[in-house]
Amino acid sequence: MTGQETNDRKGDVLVVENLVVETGGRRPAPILNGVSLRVAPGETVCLVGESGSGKSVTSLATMGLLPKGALAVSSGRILVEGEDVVSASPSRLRQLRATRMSMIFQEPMTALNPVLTIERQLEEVLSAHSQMSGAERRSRIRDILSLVRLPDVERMCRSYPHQLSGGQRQRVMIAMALVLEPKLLIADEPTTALDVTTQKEILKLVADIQKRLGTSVLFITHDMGVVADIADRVYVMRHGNIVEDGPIGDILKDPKRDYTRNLLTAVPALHPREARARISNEVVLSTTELGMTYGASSLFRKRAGTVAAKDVNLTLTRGRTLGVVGESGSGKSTVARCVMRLIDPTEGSIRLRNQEIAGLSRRALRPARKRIQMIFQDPNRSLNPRLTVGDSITEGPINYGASPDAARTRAKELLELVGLPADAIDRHPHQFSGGQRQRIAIARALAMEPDVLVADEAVSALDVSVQAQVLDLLDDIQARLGVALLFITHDLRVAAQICDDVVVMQHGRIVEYGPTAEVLGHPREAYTRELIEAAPGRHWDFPNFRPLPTPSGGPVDGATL
Amino acid sequence: MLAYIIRRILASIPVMIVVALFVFLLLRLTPGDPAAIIAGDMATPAQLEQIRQNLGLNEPLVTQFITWSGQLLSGDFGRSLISKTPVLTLIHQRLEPTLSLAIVTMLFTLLLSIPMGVVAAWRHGTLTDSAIMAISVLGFSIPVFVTGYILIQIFAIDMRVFPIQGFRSIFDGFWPFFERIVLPALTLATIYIALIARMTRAAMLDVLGEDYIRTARAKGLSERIVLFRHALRNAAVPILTVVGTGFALMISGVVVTESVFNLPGLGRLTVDAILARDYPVIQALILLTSGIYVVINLLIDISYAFMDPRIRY
Amino acid sequence: MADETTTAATGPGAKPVVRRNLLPRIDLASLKFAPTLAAIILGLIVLAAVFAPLIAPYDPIKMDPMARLGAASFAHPFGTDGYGRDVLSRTLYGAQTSLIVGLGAAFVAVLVGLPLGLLSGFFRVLDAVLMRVMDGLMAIPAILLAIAIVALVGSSLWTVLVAITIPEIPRVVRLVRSVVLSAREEPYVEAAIAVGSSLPKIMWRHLTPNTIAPLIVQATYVCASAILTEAILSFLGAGIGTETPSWGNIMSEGRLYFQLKPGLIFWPGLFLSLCILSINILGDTARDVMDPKLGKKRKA
Repeated sequence: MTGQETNDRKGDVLVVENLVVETGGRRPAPILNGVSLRVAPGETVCLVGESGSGKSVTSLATMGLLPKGALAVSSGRILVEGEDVVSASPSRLRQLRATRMSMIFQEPMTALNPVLTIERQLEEVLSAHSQMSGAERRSRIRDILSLVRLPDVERMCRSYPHQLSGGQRQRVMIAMALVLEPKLLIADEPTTALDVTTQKEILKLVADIQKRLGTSVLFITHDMGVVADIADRVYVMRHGNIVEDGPIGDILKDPKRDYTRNLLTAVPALHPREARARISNEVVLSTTELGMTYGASSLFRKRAGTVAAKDVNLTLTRGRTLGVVGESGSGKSTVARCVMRLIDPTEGSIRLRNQEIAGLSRRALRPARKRIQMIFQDPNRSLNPRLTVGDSITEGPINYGASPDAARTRAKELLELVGLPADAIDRHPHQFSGGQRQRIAIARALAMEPDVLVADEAVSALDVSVQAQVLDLLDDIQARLGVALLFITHDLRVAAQICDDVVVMQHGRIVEYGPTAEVLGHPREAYTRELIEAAPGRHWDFPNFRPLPTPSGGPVDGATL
Repeated sequence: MLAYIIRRILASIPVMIVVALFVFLLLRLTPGDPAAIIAGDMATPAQLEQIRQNLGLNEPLVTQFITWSGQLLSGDFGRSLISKTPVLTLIHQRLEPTLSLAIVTMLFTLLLSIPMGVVAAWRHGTLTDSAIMAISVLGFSIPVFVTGYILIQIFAIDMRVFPIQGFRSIFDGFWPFFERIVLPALTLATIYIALIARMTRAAMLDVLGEDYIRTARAKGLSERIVLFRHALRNAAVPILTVVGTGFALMISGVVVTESVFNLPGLGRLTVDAILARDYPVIQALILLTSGIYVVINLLIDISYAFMDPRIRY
Repeated sequence: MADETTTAATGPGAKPVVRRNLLPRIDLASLKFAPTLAAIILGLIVLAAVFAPLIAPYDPIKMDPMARLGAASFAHPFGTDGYGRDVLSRTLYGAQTSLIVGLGAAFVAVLVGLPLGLLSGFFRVLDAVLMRVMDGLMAIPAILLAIAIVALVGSSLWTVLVAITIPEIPRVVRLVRSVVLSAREEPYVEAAIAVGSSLPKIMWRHLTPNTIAPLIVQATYVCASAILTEAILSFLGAGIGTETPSWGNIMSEGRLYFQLKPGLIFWPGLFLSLCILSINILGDTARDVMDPKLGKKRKA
């Protein structure tokens, strides 16, 4: 916020000045308290922050897309190429969209209309904003689809969204946003719902097109890795305010504010931690040739069925953490759910301590259930909203014969163990934040005194700072109780920091399996290497505010820190 | 797509079997002698025995059901107790007024209810929305015959715009047909309009919250295109579903409307059959209307495939 | 995967998701005009039904050949019918019939539909069979089914009640089933399986509470629909005999004299319409208050 900014303002593609957005209704509450930012031509500006920071609201306000009645701009200006969007009439605003500014969204799965073809959805942008003839429109559509590197453009034109993969849909979104070559592209977490390898391709595509068309990009993200890879300049947001801004190098190397520092130090390092010393050789969980095939045949025809997992062999010993990493559809969650017997595996064996549980009936399984417990991904949905925290935690022990009083006393101890006050026991889940709820879910699992904890993407829904705390908690609990952890995650950084051993899965099969330091430090398989290379920000050592020594080197070099 | 259609057709067969089973069991499991019910109060013992023979009442239930279903499939729905005419002939004679009423009602309904629902959803939370919803709740709550008599009182008795009662075939000329069908059709349409307007609004509200609507707006499309091309097409499936299930509502409406306006259709046939306790006719009408209900819902199911490509592939 | 909606409660600007309580507390200030009026009207109708023997000026079935088709007067505010019976008294007693039918049908439909829906949502084989039966039952138009039952069994209040309730059951079963099917996918149900809770316990503790709010709403619609069906049946002459006054059969008898004496149809019709309207408005209000979709937080 220096004088220089005011001097440059004339040429800026986007200037936001003291933007205040409030909730609608009788008692307006501020969501943005005077946000100012600017985006120069051809520049990539990242707006980074945790959930609730107001970064999405800023982007929606710029497009004039704030939900009517719920949120409204109460003061400030938003200038797109010098024209104020806040005071623009609805019809002027419609003209500006897609021609001057465009937006792509987080969920490519739901952002396209399911009942219209891709061509139709592109075509209507052209007919709404241009006088092109039918033939011109058709050729323009094919040009832009090739520009976003979609294969077989003719077939794409005829396709409906559900026939495309997530990455392809996001390419269509980008094509739709850029078909009229607007000066400003707002991207709201556009790669968050995608796998890392797809994310890498999309980020590269945006960068290439940007270079070619000279578009300015306002990129909203929570992921510091992505920021490190793409940003020219960064704005850090928190609670509806800009906390800090500056060129990317300055922010990463020398953050001025504590909040930014904490944000950076919370990013788990990609460099794997050393395996801890084994505390025991006692195998608590193992699977042999575990397999799961869905929908083998229907009434009319025999189908091959979808193989969700095949030939999965793993071994977990007491006190250790085994990570299962992979992209969506790799079968990692299937393995977790089979091991929990939430679904019934179609082949192979699961041994819990020395007991075979793969084929057990529900009734016979009951005693074994106690020894293996699960922490789910979404803490908002894994606790029954109608039950108190205490009721949720004591449900299991009471099932296994504990007296309600004893179970309650134990629940209080567990709440304190996971870092919550004991009096949380009589409250309801909605009174807690996401991170706190995940702690409650951990307490519930621990109440059963299990040998094995299965954590299925247990920190994926949490902000990085909260994520770091929950990971520390799991580590601490493991050290104290010696519980073994089966940790399912898509995030290599998280796996590198918490797992002793790691399994890499792809298409339902194990690709590589070994000590984390080996697998992530010296990967032998091409797929593992591909995953590591796709991890955003892998050349940056965030907690130490410095680049990794060999930014251009392969993962083998990168590991020798 | 063909596989989908075949699947839907096969799925509707058990429904028809269940309907037939219900109708069959209704008569057999009722306390009392089915033959006496069928024959009516004035039957002689010889007639009763004759009916027992015909229905095979001395056979086991399963055999009876198979024989009875076989008769139905060959088009034998029995004869009326009163006029002794085959039930199918009776139904055939009464078909035209009912069909005319249903089609005109459907036209009124679709012309009014869908725009009402779309506008209410678009103007969600405003006075327009409240007004449309109030009309809809009202239409939903006032019984058909009350609506009918109110319309007769206003348009036929006080204003003398339309005749009070009666029916003329459309083949006798459009106006004589229309002036007699307009009040019954409006009467019958009120419930249907209310129902479909409500559903259209609810479905549109759901769809308007979807991400792709935000995308459409972000593309700078006009509200008209957003509403009709993007939202209404996606809302079509739930709306059509209600058009189909609401058909059951229309049947009961037809029975009442026809007796209020004295239309010589299937509804009147039903009422006459009730009053005369003409069970074979009631039974045939139940089977017929249920069959139509199943077929209409089958057609609607199939039409989903045209509305939504995700079902098609 | 930092979906903003899932962890939004961590920010200070975000409101906690309070709307998941069993029954939301009712904010008196937010009471709207229409629901309040509906509640008052329904209250009055209930009072009329309960105290009909005390407030009705005449015996509702006492015929008076001298006073046939009397006009509205001080002695007979709504006039008299074709047998000289007092229409006001019959209308007040008619409220009893309608409320018994409405509440009875709602109660029985929920009582039968809830367990069937719960079981159907949980057991696949049972579900396949039960849903075919329900589909078949729904395919038969309610009025015709009721007419057939009444034609076969006879037209007492109780037969009519049964005949009206049966077609309502499939709707309740389907509703409960759909709630169960979506709720059983919730991770908290899986968590309950993981801690070894038995099936009955999961149903009772984790699934049934989810069905209560939609069931209350559905019950109001069943109630309104049953009252309407009873009126239609009686109007068609296939309902309750005239010795038990019902709004439908008062109107049925009034049809003959409609052009002469519209009041015979107007008064019971007004009561009937107001009653159904009030129940529907209250049902809509309940739905709006309880519908978690409308309480869904916007992305912030």
